[in-house]
Amino acid sequence: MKQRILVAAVGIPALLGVLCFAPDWATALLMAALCVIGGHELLAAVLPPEKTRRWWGLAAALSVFVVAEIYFRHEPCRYADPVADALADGGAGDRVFLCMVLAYGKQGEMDFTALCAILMAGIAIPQRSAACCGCGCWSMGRAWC
Amino acid sequence: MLEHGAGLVLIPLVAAFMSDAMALFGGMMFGRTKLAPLVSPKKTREGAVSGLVGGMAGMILFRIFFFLCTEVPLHFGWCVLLGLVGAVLGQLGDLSFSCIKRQYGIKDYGRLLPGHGGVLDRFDSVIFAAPVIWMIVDAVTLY
Repeated sequence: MKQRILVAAVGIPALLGVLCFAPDWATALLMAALCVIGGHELLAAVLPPEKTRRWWGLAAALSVFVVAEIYFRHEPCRYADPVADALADGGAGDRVFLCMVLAYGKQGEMDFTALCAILMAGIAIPQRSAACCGCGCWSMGRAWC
Repeated sequence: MLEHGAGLVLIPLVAAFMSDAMALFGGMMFGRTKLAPLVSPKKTREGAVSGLVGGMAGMILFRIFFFLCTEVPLHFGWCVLLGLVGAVLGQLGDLSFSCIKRQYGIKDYGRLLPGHGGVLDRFDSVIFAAPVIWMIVDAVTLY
């Protein structure tokens, strides 16, 4: 319990500092980092170690792409929309499907559990975490504050 | 677009974290009846109710701090509702990720946040609560 309170006492002010006072890109970076770490924890929990090592990179890349796409979608910058479009056009689902096909029949192929874990870690968790940070209100929110 | 977004960003975190904390302390003090013994043996109904109260109380405190920082009074009823929604969905998220842990026989997701069971264990409630809270914040007139 003591350790739990100590970690919260250090972590919560740090989290508040980044969310409220740091620039938008720092918030996005924090979200991406948390999603990558959380994704690894999820894969490590449900997959054997060799499959975790094999598929974690894909899940991490997907989560970074998802957070980046949402960040650029709401950034009032001239080149933000084209960048967001490019990231969205990358097609997260297509990439997972392609990796699944390429690994089919090989050692460490993507089975149903791995597919679900990768979709959860790479797409669902980052999208929901991005909602947590209220990506849609970053720029205007800061401009008005 | 939302005004004061940098402050409103904290709503899902406040609702979920306060609910988690109050559920823990409420369960430790009053916990008798098990909530879902198969999924999470230590969770109690009394703790769950404390969590709901904690989420709402957290949002009332947030409303006070938000007013002190921005001089904008948030709508009291919506704040309480957001706290309740955050607490309910947060506990649902907590139970969902506990299900995965029980299914695979692990105690903690990771060791990065000692005492909290890993990053995923810390943010599981936020993951469930955030999208719905954001939709409500975006849809209603908070102030």
